[in-house]
Amino acid sequence: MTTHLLTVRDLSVSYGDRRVSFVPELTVGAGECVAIVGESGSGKTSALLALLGLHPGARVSGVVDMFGTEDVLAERSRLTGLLGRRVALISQSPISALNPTMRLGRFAEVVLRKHGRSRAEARAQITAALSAVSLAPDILTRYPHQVSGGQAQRFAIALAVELIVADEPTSALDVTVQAEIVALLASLRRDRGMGLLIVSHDIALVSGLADRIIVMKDGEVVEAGPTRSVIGNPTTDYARALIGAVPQIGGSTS
Amino acid sequence: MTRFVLYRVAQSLFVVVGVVLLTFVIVRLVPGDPAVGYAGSRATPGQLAAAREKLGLDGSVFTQLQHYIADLLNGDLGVSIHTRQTVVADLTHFVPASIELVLFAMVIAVPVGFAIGRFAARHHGKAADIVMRIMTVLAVSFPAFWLGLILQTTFASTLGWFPIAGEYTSSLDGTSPLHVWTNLTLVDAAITGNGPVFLSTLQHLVLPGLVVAAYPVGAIAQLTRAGLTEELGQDHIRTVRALGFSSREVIGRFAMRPVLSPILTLIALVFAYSLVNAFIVESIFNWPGVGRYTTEAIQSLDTPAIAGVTLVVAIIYVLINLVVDIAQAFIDPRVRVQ
Amino acid sequence: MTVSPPLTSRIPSWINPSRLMPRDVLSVVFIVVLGILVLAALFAPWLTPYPADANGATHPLQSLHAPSAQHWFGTDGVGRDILTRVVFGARTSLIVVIAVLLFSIVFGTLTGVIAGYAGGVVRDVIMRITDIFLAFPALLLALALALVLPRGIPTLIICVAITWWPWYTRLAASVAASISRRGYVDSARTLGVSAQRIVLRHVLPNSLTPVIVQASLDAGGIILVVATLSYLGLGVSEPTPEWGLMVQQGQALITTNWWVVTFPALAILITAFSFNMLGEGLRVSLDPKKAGR
Repeated sequence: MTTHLLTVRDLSVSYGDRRVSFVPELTVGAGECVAIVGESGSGKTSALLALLGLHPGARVSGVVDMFGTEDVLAERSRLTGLLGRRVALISQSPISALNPTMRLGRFAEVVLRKHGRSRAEARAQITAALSAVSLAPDILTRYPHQVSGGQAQRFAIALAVELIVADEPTSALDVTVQAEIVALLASLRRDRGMGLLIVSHDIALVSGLADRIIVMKDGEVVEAGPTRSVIGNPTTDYARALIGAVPQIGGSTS
Repeated sequence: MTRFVLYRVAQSLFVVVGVVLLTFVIVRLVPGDPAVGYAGSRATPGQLAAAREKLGLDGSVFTQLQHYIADLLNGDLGVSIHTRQTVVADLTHFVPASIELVLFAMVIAVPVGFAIGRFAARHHGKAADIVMRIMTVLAVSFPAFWLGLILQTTFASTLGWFPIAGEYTSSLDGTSPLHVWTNLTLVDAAITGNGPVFLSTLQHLVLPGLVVAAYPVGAIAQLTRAGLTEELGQDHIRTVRALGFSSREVIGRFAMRPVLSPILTLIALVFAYSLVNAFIVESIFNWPGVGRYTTEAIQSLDTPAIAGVTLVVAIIYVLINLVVDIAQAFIDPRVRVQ
Repeated sequence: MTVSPPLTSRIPSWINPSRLMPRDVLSVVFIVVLGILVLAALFAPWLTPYPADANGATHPLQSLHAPSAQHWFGTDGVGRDILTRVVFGARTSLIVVIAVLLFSIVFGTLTGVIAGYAGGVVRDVIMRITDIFLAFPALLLALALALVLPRGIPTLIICVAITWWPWYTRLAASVAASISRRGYVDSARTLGVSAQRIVLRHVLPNSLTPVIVQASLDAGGIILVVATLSYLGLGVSEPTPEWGLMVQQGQALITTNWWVVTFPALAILITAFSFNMLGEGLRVSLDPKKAGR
């Protein structure tokens, strides 16, 4: 049995009386990839942000265990020790996710020093992390508006450590760049045993990457299971329609 | 970057030329004959002609403009009608006192405005935010002359906590005379180690300083709050929250930087606004600045003095803007792209 | 100022009256306050107890009476009813505010739209001219001009208007520039829609929201500048009732007869404050980013 990096039970996100998202169960182990798939408004991103304690204004209930720390949402301090140190969020629009007034090198240094590295350690770690995501070190002297979306996304991934939580990590990128980012995520998972939790509306993209898929609609989970069975044997009409909408997968299953 | 700086400098030069022309036009429009004001109403035609020549009022409009510009390039702003000194001499005496007052006010206003704005942004939508919002709007809506009168009657006349008017207690001129270096009294007192004058000036600065500071505090707080509130909703803020930074760090290290550049612009604008606000405050508190000089000049139709003040304040304003724009380009790299 | 104004994102929504309705309760309060002020100014001759006091009548025997049932706000140094003069003073202030804003909005928007839409050299020339006017702090240019022109309401209007229009030029120019860069304006142009029509149909309606917000905030500022000019003796002259002038005349009496200064000064503060609060409220409720909620 793999060790669980992340365990979620009965995670519910609501605004006032309206529940926008409910996830009864979700686990991500080391080296595992889980994808949450659904159309926009299905509550998938809400769930993702909520389990990182990043949903200001929303009422969040449920239990989230992370790296052996139980119920991280109960107290802010339980989560702050993990955020950025062991779990990282990858955003949809990589460029606007970076501080526009900071060079990337400075940003990385501020982040790593926040997590207790000395200046020298931070520098060394940044250099190593950049080569792991095949970025040239000269990117560190640039501002976010001076790099491409793919470069910015690689940079964000370079800052990640054990568990990546990604919100539509490729949908703002060109198709060729999308494939590169997916390949990068796959290699990090294979070579370093990183856990991945990916939210996407693109079932074709995640089907090659994910071990398990959760399909959400209108805030509820409508289908969940190993990728092969969800794609090959969808039990609900909604999942079937979602898969059928993608030519290559729909074609292979019929 | 170099191109940006050169472009802004060229732009500022163009504005300065425009300002000079506009000032000239306004001065030319003055009704009545300033030469009469200078030479006196019983002057002989010969004396009038001499006064006219001295004030640069002889010859056609075009030659007058020529003279005006030639004099300007020589650093000559003409002779004041009411003080009978050169305007340049008057201004080097009076402008520093005004700048001292405004700087004193800004030293109070910038940190206080920032702090209020940050506080309101952190408590966005809550009662504290609404109270702050009302207070800051009140601060920018208060007529400076009334605030001055209120503070003067309350804290000086009635309670006696602060001196009513003036720059420092005049009896100190006998006991510990001040050596003038910069015309900034606080600075002069500090560098010559003149403790009594320094303290007395500081006491005299408090009330007029607070009046001048009211507007900048309100304006800076409002923009800081609005900018921070908007910035806190941006993607990059979510990123740093997800990287484990606390709310305090998020605001101080990440949200503040992009907001800083519009705030710098505002500070420049507010500085100029306060310089003019100081005019009114100076006449209430008898602060020997350019404001008191101007109100006296207005009463005696002193066109060279008023033209000089207008020109100098406008040029100070252009320079502040230039410096701020260049500073902005350093803080926010996106500005340079435009 | 390089702070870009809020831009409306969707075209037809400006017509929707609910967008123009401030959601903010506070804004409604200040609209009511300003409404009362406007009505009071309009009907001043019928509302005030001693309308003659607004036009130079003096009553030396009743000078400096404290507030009472006959004179709610007391009387001034020459025995005039201060309530009457404060209400008539609203006329002076509001006339100047309206005239300045009308001129600034019309002239500023016109030049701004031309600058933003035409671009290139035309834009550069117009913008540099606004730079020159903006280089003079409003009050200072007004001060210099007030010296040149004869005292009175028209002078006040000219003095303030000449320093105010460039803000609207800049505002309109930035809106126009951002609109004319948008795709649909390009396609309209390639389809042969005239420039005039594009400006009328797209650019002007989109400038409306930022202009309304700006105008409300500016009204507060104009009230203060007008009062300050009058306080310095450069605005209207006696016996025209004007708040700033009333404060100036009463300031020597501030310790002995507080009411002479306090009521006109309060009128300035309340009016400026209401315009500013309304502007703030409108800025928030008209913000297109929040309109979708």
